[in-house]
Amino acid sequence: MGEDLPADLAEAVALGGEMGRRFGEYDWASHPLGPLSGWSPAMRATVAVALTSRFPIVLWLDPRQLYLVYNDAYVPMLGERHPAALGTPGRQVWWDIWDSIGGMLDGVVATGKATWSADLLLPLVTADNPQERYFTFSYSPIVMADGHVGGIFCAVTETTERVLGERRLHILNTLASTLVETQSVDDAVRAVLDLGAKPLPDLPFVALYVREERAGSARLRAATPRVADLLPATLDDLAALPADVGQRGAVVDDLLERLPGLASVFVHSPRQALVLPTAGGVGKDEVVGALVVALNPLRPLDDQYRGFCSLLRDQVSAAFAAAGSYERERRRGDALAELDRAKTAFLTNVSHEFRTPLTLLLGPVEDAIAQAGGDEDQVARLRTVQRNAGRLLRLVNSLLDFSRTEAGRAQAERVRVDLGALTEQIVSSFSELCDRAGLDLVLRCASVDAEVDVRMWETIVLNLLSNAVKFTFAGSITVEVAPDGERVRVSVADTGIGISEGDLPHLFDRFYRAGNNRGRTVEGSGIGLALVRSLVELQAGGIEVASEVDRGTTVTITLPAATAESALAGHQVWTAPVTNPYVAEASQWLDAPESEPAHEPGGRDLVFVVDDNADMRQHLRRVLSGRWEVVTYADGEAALEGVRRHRPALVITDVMMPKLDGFGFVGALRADPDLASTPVLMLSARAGLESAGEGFAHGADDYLPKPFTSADLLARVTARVNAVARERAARARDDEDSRHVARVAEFQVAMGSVTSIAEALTTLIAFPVAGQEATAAALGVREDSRIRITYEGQMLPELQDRYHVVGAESPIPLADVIRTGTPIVITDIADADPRYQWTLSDSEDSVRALVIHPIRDALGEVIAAAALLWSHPRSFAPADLEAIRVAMLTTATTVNRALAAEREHRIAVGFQEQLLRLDRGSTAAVIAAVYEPAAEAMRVGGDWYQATPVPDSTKLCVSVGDVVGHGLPAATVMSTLRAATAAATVTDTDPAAVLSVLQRCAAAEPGAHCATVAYAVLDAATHTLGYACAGHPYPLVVLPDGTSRYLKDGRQMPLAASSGNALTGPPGHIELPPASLVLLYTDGLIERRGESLDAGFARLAEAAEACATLPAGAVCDELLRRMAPARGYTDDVAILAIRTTGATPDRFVACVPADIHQVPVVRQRMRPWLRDMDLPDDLVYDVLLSTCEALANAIEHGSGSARATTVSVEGAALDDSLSVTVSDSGQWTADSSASRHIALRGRGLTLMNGLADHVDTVRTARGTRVTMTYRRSAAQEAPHGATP
Amino acid sequence: MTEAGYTLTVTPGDVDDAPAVVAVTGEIDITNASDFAGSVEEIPSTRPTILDFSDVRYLDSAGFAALSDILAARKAAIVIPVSSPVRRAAALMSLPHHATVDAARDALA
Repeated sequence: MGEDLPADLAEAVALGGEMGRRFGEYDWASHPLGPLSGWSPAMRATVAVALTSRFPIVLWLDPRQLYLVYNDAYVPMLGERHPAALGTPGRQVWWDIWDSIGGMLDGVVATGKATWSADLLLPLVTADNPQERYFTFSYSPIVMADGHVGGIFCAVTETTERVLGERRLHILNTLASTLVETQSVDDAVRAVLDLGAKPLPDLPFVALYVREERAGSARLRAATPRVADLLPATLDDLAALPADVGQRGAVVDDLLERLPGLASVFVHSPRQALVLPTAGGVGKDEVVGALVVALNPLRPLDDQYRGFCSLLRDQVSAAFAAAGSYERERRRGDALAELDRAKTAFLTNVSHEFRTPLTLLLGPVEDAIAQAGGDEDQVARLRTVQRNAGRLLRLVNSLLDFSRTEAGRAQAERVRVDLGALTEQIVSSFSELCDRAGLDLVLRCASVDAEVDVRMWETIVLNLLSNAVKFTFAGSITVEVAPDGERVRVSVADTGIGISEGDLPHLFDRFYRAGNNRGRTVEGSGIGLALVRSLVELQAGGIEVASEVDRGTTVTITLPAATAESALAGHQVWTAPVTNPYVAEASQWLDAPESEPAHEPGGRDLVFVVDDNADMRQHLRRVLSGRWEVVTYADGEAALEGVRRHRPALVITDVMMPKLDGFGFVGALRADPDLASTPVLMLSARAGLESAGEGFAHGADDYLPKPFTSADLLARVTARVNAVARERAARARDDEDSRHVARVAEFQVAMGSVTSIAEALTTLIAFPVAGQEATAAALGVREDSRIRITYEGQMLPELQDRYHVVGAESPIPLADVIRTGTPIVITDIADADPRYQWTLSDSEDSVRALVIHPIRDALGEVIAAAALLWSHPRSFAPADLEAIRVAMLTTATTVNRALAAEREHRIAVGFQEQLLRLDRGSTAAVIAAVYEPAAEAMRVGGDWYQATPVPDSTKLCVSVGDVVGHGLPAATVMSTLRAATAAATVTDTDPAAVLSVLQRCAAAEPGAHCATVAYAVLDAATHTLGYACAGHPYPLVVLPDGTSRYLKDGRQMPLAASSGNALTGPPGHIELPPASLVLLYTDGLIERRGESLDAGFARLAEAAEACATLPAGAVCDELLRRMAPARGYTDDVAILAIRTTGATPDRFVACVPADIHQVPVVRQRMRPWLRDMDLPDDLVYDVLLSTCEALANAIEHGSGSARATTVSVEGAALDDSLSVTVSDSGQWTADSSASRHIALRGRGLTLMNGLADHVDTVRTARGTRVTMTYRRSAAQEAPHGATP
Repeated sequence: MTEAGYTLTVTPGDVDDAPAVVAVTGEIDITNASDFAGSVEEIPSTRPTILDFSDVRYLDSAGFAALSDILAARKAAIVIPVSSPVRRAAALMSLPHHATVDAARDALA
């Protein structure tokens, strides 16, 4: 057991795992390094770092001996040297690599400079074998207190895997790039051997054994030259591979024994080899040989190495397979010639065999058609059979004729005929077809005798005509028979697509098919023209073709004219067959496919069938149309256009088609990002895995070789269409999900920046629910027993008025949500809970569907509810409701924040306004006041405003003052001075007297020093105003004509500024006509940083004049708005506005007690004012009625308060309109649950909104202001009795 | 005149079941609408009643509410001529009315 550990090492030892324990238990006292307590602090600190690190670290302690201390992570590098290495000198531990590292370590000790080695090869010996291993490490000195190097710190990481991985990858890449170009097995072998030419550590040598075609051992085909002579000739002699060797291959362990000369070839001779079967050639699984890879003796055969060898083998196999097929291809060409000869013989035999069954097929079909009667489906099916059997018969006949001529066995029975007449007869069977195809069939057949085999001539003419029709889309086909000296010339000329120059020489080669796909069909056997030539030759004639691309083709046949002695055959030598198979086949080309869906899309999935064979199209349609909507196309080009337009669920396409073939078509689909996902099922007559592979390679999703059964086709199409439907649904869901997430995220971002309720509602409206935005949004906030509702969006003002405050128990959905905390969703109010019918029915035009969610505060209490409203009924998918729920949660956060800010502001304002409660008892003038705390500090201030009615008189005293400072002390002083002002007016309202009282009061109040005040007394009876100011900004008067003037008389110093402070002159005095506006305010309103006071006065005068016609309350609000600096007021602002009552020609001002019996009083006062404007009776009545309705509402709402209050009416005649404002100090409170009251109030609101052209309602904490505007000409324009 | 005032002049029908014509003048508003309703109630409802508002120069929402109640309670018809300024408000209030006394009489017949 070791010594007691020093404290600084104890913890490292405890945390150091195995090596920590071993280090702690080590008997250092007996070690040259001595007991741990004697180790320097630097050394101990380094040890602590090393032991606790999870990175491999080794310390070399002592500059000469370099004793090892290392941590757990380093243990794997030591292998079997652990644990003996601890405390052992470095040279002893790392004897095998000391040549490499000893010098570096000494260098660090000597110079103190750290080293850095990246991917250094250190051949560590493990189990007596050196191993090729790579390390990246740094040696850095451990510097002692005295400056000398006491040891070396080494952080090291093994990079063997990466280094080897890169090296092997490089080999594979090199091989791959070489193999790509190989075309033969020999090339491939050479490429593999080239790898071994340069000695590669991981490929000491390679050898390739290939098995002969049949059984037997694989024989050595090639090997790395250095070892080629050493290797046995057969694989069996090298290694007895088990039968089930498998893809992993087998390891040969005794390579040195088997290949005795090997050791002399290599420095590090390979001891093992891996034998890997190579597969390739015809069948993929057929083992044709083996690749022998000798293994690097310095590396174990681990998974990585094995994987590398496998990849090597795979590449070789692939190359062999490719090369093999290339070679086969060439051999096939050679065999083809031989085959060709055999084929002719075969065709002759087989064709003959075909004719009998075909004939037997055609007869009964004809009978069946005759008996099918009215069963049209059956007839159609039978006609298909008949047509195609006929086609087959024609083909067989052609083949037979052809093979006969090829074999030289055909005998022409030439008779003398009138070739012109015969040809015309044959050609005329095409006339109806040409008509349908829109081609002119021109016959210029002179009567010329020639000797021909009539049946052969028929074949010749029909073939030529059939070709002409196939390749001619417009214009004409001209058949001419004319004598040409000793010969007869017969020509068939068309105006078709022509034949390219390159194709012309091969045109009569059998099976040659011109490489164009522009005809009506690409069907054809390629023997037609070859047969024609053979037949013509049998008539002792010649044939030639002239053609020009896009201009047409002319085939000219010349025959010897009949000699005089040959007998002329009768005219009826040729009888037209009932159904000419050439005509029947050609007419198929003209059957236009239906390229438009027959039904409205949207019902069944749309499947496209693209095939140039009309019968095949019909067949597929019959099979598929039971389940899908089928649209057919005859070529890829038309289909591509169709896919663009109709987006089918699946396309079934043939490969061989005119214009654009199947591969080209699929390629075009895949190249278009919009269409690339269209699934394609490819049909082809070309059977075999290879052509299927070709189909897939061109981008087909599925491949079905012809022939196929209907069941097979149905199964494939069903699987494919279902997969598409599933995928489409999944994608739609994904798209919807991601759109949904994006919408919510966008919404949350938008909501995050919102600060006010109005903004929050606007943002909420814009939130799309299933792509649809709400018409309006509303927020109901619980305030004691009432709910105050705010609206945004398209909502009738009348409704907003009717439902802006409701009782908490009201039977409306919003109130219920707040009461119960449960969301409400109404898809259509017509179906809603009868409980809501009465309220909802009258809002039907603006609200049909709604979703309301509760809004909770931080404690979970429902404090409000937010509603999304739609003006039409709608449904909500579950996802929509979820989206709304999430949006509402976000809205709740914002609403909470906005309400908190609002509350804060309201508290500040409310406190001040409570403190400054405006006495509205006087009817001497309309009074309005506003208090705005400084923007940066929501706190009570020292500003005041006050209105003091003088009892039993027509006088009203007003004052605005400003005490220096903020906060409670200033507020206290302010209250004192304000109270003193009110008190002073009780004894004397004279300005001088009041200021004198205030001066005395201020002198006794320390905080009142330098307070300022403006005081004014209005006498409504005399229309005069007396005023005085103590250090306060001048009051401003705006006269009814819109001009303004500051009241600059009656000045004195600020209160208590000096002893004996008093007015310097008499108080100010001014006459005020009715509807004059007097403004008292504090300096916060006009002060602006960096601006003179005069500029502030000028701005205020201008702003006030602009507000001349506004009602007093609006003047206060508007001045606050207009005068506000960009960043808000820096000081508190108080504004008091009074407007004198009475009437002028264009102004009317009344202020009356809030008593319902005042309604007729105001009406009688207002009527003459309106009459004097020469307004029509209707308008007079409309204005009176709506004003009085508003007045009655104002009085009703104000009457809730015990305090005597007043209501006011301010009217102004403007250029072309009339505006009347009714103001009160109430909140238009709702009577709880009284639907009848709401209904009655509704009548008044209906009248106001119906009679006035515009109604604007402003509600503040100070009261409600309803402004109605009327166009002066309105009454004249609207006929009596017209319903608006 | 600071109070709203109205007068009712009742002209009984010339035959037994002919409607009585009540000519209303003055103003009916929130302050006297219930009085007005009471006055009409006092008129015997054995016969149909025609309330002729041709000479009413002011009628507010309380008045319209009273008229609605009257129409619901008794067989009555209201006359508001085309020239009356009240007519537009009556339309807004959806108050059934007739342009002339004769028209009202026909409607009641």
